[in-house]
Amino acid sequence: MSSLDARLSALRGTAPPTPHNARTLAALNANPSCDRRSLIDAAGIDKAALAAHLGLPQPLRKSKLALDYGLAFEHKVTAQAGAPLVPLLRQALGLTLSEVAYEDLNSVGSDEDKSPLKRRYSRTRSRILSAAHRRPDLHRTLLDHPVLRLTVAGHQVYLEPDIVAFQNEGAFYIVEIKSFPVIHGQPDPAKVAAALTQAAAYVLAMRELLADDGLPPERVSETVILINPRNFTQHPTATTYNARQQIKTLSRHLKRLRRLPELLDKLPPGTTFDLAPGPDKNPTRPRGELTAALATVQASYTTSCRHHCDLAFHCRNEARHQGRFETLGTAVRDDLAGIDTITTALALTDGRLHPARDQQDITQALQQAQRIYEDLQTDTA
Amino acid sequence: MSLLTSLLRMRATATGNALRASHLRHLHLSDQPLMLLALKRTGPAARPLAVMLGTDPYRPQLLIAPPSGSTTPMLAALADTVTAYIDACQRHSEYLPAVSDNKPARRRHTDAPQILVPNPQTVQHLKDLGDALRFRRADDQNSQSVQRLGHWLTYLTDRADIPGSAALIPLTSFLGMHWVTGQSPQEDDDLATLLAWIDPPRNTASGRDAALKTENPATHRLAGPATDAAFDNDHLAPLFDAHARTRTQGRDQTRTLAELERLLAAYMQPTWDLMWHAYALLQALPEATGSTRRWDHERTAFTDECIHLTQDGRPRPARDQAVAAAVRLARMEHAAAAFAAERAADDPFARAELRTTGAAFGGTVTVIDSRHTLRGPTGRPQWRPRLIVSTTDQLRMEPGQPLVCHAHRKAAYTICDITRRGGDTLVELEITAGMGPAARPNHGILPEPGAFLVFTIAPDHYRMPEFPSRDETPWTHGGPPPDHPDHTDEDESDESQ
Amino acid sequence: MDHASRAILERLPTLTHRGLVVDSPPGAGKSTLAARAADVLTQSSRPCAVMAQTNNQVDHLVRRFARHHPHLHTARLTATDYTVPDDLQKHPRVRIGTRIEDLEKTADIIVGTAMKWATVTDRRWPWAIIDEAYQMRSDTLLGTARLFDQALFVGDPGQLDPFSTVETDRFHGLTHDPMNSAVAVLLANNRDLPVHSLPVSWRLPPSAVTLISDAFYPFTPFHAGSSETDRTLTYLSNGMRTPADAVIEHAARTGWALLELPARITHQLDAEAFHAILGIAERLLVRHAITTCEDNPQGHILQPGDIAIGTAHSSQAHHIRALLARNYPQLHGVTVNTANRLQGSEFRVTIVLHPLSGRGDASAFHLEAGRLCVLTTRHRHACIVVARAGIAGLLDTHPSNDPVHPGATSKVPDGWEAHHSVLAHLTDHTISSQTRRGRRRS
Repeated sequence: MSSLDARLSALRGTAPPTPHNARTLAALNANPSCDRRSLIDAAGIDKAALAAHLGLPQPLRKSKLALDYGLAFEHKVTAQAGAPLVPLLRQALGLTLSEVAYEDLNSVGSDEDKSPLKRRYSRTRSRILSAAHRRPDLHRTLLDHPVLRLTVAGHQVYLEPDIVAFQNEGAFYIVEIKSFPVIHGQPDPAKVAAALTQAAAYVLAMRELLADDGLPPERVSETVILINPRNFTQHPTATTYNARQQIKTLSRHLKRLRRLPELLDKLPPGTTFDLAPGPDKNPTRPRGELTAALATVQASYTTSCRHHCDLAFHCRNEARHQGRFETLGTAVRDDLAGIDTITTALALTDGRLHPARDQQDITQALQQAQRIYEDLQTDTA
Repeated sequence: MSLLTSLLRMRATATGNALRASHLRHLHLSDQPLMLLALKRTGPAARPLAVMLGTDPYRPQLLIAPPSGSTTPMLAALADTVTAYIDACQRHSEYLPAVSDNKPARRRHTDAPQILVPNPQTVQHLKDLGDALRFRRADDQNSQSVQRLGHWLTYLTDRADIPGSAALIPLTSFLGMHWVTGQSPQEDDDLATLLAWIDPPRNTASGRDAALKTENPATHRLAGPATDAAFDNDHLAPLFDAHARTRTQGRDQTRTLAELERLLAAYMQPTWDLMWHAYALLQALPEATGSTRRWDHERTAFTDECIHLTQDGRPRPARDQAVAAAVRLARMEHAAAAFAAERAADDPFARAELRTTGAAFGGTVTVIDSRHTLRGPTGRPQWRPRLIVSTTDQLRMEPGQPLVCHAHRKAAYTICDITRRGGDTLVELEITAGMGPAARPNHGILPEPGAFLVFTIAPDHYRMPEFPSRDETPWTHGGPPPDHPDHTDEDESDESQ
Repeated sequence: MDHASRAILERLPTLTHRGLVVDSPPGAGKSTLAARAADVLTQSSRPCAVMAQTNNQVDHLVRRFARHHPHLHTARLTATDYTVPDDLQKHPRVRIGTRIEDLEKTADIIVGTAMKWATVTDRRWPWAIIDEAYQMRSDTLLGTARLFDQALFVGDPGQLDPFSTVETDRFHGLTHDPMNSAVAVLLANNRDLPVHSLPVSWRLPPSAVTLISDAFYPFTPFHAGSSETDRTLTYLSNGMRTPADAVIEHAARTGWALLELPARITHQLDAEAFHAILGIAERLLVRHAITTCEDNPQGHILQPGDIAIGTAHSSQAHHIRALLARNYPQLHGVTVNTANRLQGSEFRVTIVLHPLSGRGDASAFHLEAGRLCVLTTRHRHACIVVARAGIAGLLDTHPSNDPVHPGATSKVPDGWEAHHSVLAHLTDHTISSQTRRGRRRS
């Protein structure tokens, strides 16, 4: 075990690590400057359990109904050895395909006993490499449920995507099956962005796989295909997207994770996020200790954190206590740029604080706004 | 957003209570709005789960979609209520005499439907539902009324895209126009916390405390259309499973359905009450002058839609064709500009906001030159009185800027000169409209010396551009589109969802 | 006039397609081409309708017709509430009118804004020329397309896209999206239309072309029409070794300079940056800058009118103008404006307040590639950028979860990437404001 691993697992404590997945990687794109999130994810800490212990709302909890629906749609699309997929891919990529070989890499071993990720990964790897080495013009392959591996901050992280990798004429495509609808040609643009960021993680992982074997990584296309229900039915429709932007950004943010040792160095000795589960598996560590531990790493709270982080409400409450503008949204933060807290801004407005040289303009504007507001109260305006 | 609202947000954060952002209500509020709270099924695009609706806060109608099988009977019941409400608005009409050749005499309904929903997400849900239903085949009575419901939902959600429209209003946005809280605008999207800030219960110390309490995961309810994951997992999923079991075993499903109804009624009731609470708060605000004109316009649009339904009746196409899209965008832009201008004219708070963004200034009239005249292009003298206004506002305008003033709605002004004197700025203005001809000057246009006036940047002169007819769509835009189909190419009523 | 423009002019009279699109990078002779095309087209049919997007652009075109095509009768179709500049009003060969009836009988060429043309009814001519077509919204094209059978569309794909005052997603993905640019919609509906691109920028100096072509025009690369020896910038007086002097000397040598102020999150209004900008403009004039170029090989003493100051926000432009009027009387005549307003104009030297200067984060507005493109492509000799330190870090931590719409294609590269390229280039041209002698940062 590397010293980095040892330091990270000390933060986590006794619980088994919660590995990175495409969603946590996608969160890197959404808030790359959050050190707290980077560190906690790298240490494999279960944020949902942490949030639950702290008594916070959990906006990210997954609905069973949503999962069931997604699964049913996925089954529909990949039924009969992926038969419904073939015409969709033909149309999406403008190909003339007739036959495509299909393999479900999930079916290694029995359904009940899912084989360990490592084994499924090595199987995925050998299938992809053999497809890549074969004469490209002859073979088209659909690989369902591949397991991929991506190096994140020096760790090897297994990704278990609900995707299909499609190989045609030597090029690999990520095909993601998503259960949000495309209504009259319009999908939810935020959901598309999230799907493409996840796809970017898979593209990078597959590129890593090819590159390790000396194959050109560009053989994994930056064109990503999303399969969604069309309109109000369960009939699938395929849309192609160029994920170049998401791929570039994600790889950039992954590189930034090299700063982890620096972050760890800044922690006071003995810092831990271990929930210390008791015999009944309930956490025993006092909440105060955990919030103190969280306070040792800088967060970068924004109002959209609740869409991708379990700890969003904790960071919001913390930011509120500190009187930070981030709690009031981007418009206020932009308006008050250059002032550190709400308290300072109000003190400047009310003349209880003398503005620094670079705060003079904004102070004058705030005081003017206050004067105008007072005019309103006296009804002269 | 303006610096003024940013300042108020900070003040609200500091005090823990929301602040009034306006003393006037800018949207018409019906005496009998149709309150509508909708839940959708987690997963499928537009499958309803339940709808609570009605015009009486104490007697809501609750409609439940079965966990599996057809939703048509439920949707037909929904259609009956919504259509009955809409039909009631068509009962009376008024006669409008001809204004010009372009505007001949016509009749207009004296009322129009107004549906209040909790949040913008519900508007999107109703839009999806409209898209799903209006192309349905109308084979029998039920499916006919469902198709009609689809048509009206599309009309209403289209109206909701028009700034200043009051046909379908999300209450969070409505409240947000009139109060500023100490939380972020994203958090204001939650009806429960927003109301907690605005009107906290008596036993709480502040709006902030009340808002924190409503966030308690054990009691917090989403105001739809999505349901909480916890509710799905702990309550709905087990009930759906039980329902499926009785179905496969061929047993009576009445009990599970009754249980579902009880469950959903309990889940929705708190939000239903909050919606009426919001209505009461909004109703207490005095209505702005401009909102009457906008409601007149709403009634015109409604009357036109009724005429379209009887004369044509085909569903609106799934997506706008070229000309329709351009016309819609022009209407939206026009409505946005008109709404902003009318709010500035009506509401001191709106003017105050503009003063902090630099789009307006307020000051005292110090000098009035009532004798100033110009020679017009024909050589005849024109009366162009001038004023000097002294302001302490930070001015971001330049000479030549056209202005308007709330105190003299018909007048127009242009900045002639700006000079600074100490901390004050002196703005010299010329009155360019509303002063009447030199022979018959309208002296009422001149302000009193010492009067405090706010001048705002004049809205751009707007003229609805002339677009070709649909059949004359030019080649640049793909030529005339084919006739839009009455229904889409597939059976959208996929009941297996 | 380059080969590509000549080829377009030859092709035009016999064009069988209904339209032709010419993509033009900054300063590639777009207006010259539009004017010559009008001249060519009027030989077979007249009048030729010419549309531009703003009154300024229209006046500019009218001036060009009057000066370079004196044999043509030029008419200016204008709205009643716009006052045409004096020089055009007094011009003997220019007719001005607010009604088409007053102009169409005598004019060879009628020029007006697209908005004004949209009010003309019951007319149809064989040809129209649409200038700055990438700034035209497609709904405006829809409202004017009835006026012509065929049309030449000329524009710069790298500049700011048209915008709307309302926000809505509902038109996304439509081939006729009314919020999209006229050219995008035209090409989406007429995929066979020929598209030419002009390959030479006559405005931008050689020092600017590689960066601008790579960063903003990756699909239609272009080169410089001038050579490095043609374009020089020198000073008659010696400097005082202030940072501002170091900046203008560096810009004179390389065509670029970035004055870096200490990192600080400022409001949109950064008084220190404003003074730094005005200080640079002042040094340029005090030191008697001399420019030489193909048009002025003997040298030209830089005047205030040759300098533009560009900003992202109008409040910034307003404040700089106010400061200029109050504290820098010698700078009277310098243009200070936003990127939106600077589109289409040309200066010898530009001073730009970086759109991301002093910001804590980057919004879509500040990252828009077109905005930076306009600001960095107005100059013939040098572009000087003023910015707070820290932009690299800001780009580095910029979140990227912007909504994605299917079928969205753009000729303009992603804003983040364009910003990154420009900033990487400027790193080699950075002078810190803090060192007394303004030493270049390595």
